[in-house]
Amino acid sequence: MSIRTRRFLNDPARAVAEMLEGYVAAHASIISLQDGMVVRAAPKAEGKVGVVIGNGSGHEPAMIGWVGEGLFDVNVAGPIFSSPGPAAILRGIEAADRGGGVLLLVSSHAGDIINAELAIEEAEDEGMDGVEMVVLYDDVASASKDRITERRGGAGLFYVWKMVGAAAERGDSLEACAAIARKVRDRTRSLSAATGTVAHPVSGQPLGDPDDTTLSVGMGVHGEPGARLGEDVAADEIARLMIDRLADDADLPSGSQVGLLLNNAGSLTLMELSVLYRGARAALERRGIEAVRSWMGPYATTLDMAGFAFAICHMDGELLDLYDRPATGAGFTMVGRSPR
Amino acid sequence: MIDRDLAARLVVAAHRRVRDHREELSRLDSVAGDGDHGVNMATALAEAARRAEQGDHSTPADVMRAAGSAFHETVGGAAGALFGSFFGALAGQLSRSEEPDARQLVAGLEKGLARVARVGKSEPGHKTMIDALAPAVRAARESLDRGDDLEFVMATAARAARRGARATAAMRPSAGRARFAPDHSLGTEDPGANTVALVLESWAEQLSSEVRV
Repeated sequence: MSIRTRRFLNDPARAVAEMLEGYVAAHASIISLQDGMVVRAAPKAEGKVGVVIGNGSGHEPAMIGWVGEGLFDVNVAGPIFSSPGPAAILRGIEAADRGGGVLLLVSSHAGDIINAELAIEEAEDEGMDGVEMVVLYDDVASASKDRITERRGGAGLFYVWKMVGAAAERGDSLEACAAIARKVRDRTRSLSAATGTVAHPVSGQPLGDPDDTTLSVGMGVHGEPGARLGEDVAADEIARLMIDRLADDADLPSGSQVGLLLNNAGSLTLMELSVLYRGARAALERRGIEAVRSWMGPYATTLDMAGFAFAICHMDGELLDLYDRPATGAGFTMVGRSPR
Repeated sequence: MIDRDLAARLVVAAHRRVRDHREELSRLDSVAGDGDHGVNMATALAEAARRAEQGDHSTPADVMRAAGSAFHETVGGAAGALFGSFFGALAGQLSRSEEPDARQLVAGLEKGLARVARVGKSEPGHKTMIDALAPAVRAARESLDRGDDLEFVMATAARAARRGARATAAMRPSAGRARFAPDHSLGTEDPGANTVALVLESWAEQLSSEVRV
């Protein structure tokens, strides 16, 4: 087994900057580049809450594809797998400010939190008011339930971005948007699985053992190792194991309604995704849980990792309404539904 | 006495040393991290060195502050934030004196350590840069209190940092990304602790070469 080390790039050290230029040029009606940041082509109306996120690159379409109406106002993309520094995040906060306060959403990873905290300190030092930060986590493999705040951010944060983006677009206050972020976080769980590893485009180093072809469950989005499952496991079995773990962790009773997300971590085929999705639906039905909304595809990738993640979000009327509101990003769109 | 030019030479020396070891640092990082620590640190220090040599800094504190900003602006990640905070705190202490000497430098290292521990919420034994920085700062303080000169103080600190970095091989991580697979990096030294050792070694060497000329 070998990993792909040859990539269609120019100077790898310039890959992130050139990606941003190309991606924005291809989606000029939705996003533009401002001072190295991805911003909305048409800014949000004055007085509404600005929503911003800084994150490492290598996870596309997260988060450059999530800037647009009903989603983020600004995305500050850092180096590959590294959070941007505090100066860049502060510029992002300033760019997202439409006079209604700014919500900085942070996926729980050491670098993202540290740099976000330093940026918030600097914003306060500059006399900016109305900047709030919410740290988000969902990955059940990263810490036990009694230490839930130590969990890291995973694919389930999809639901936070979608619903907070909708709340901010609707005109909710900063306080209300932050409350939505925490509510969705607390009702969302995710778990990932992968086989093999990928090579870092700049250093060329593999993120894991390049000779290991076993299936692992519970990897992190930067290739952090998980628990080994074995060489030959059927998709239905993996899907059931993962869905059971998510539903148990969330204490979901029979009759619950959930959003079901199947995230492609990079290089899975639509064939594999569809088979896995089918298995997850069966696993949910067995527990009497209804998947009332589904999304399947590449959302938060790890370059071209052969892996995926399931996430479930325990829906209620408020969350369904926010989920169903329209959103237009280069990497995620929601046409929107009429209220139920 | 540490003047503006000496501070700049220290930053340049740190860049050279880390650049020459960047593959090794990235390899250490690839065991439990994402394998880019060496590249990131070399990139940040290249920018820090560029600013130190070209900027119109008038004091050693300005040079160190510019180095801290280089980390915050060019690489990001936990390591960028923490090393940037270290240089920023060191600069803050150096700025308290017109002509900083070994006493201000050791006080600056102590401020740097405290800032890194606060920002990173980590303690000795977590398998982080603190495990090289804390023993180095303690050794520097003891050396200074014995009446040693700047060159000797830094050499003592560098040796303690290297011992601290080596000791991280036997630790299980409880901070950062590596903590999600605590046994995975057992037997491998922490890359951040190694960078601390490299930087302090480069400073000790630079100071000793200056004394000889």
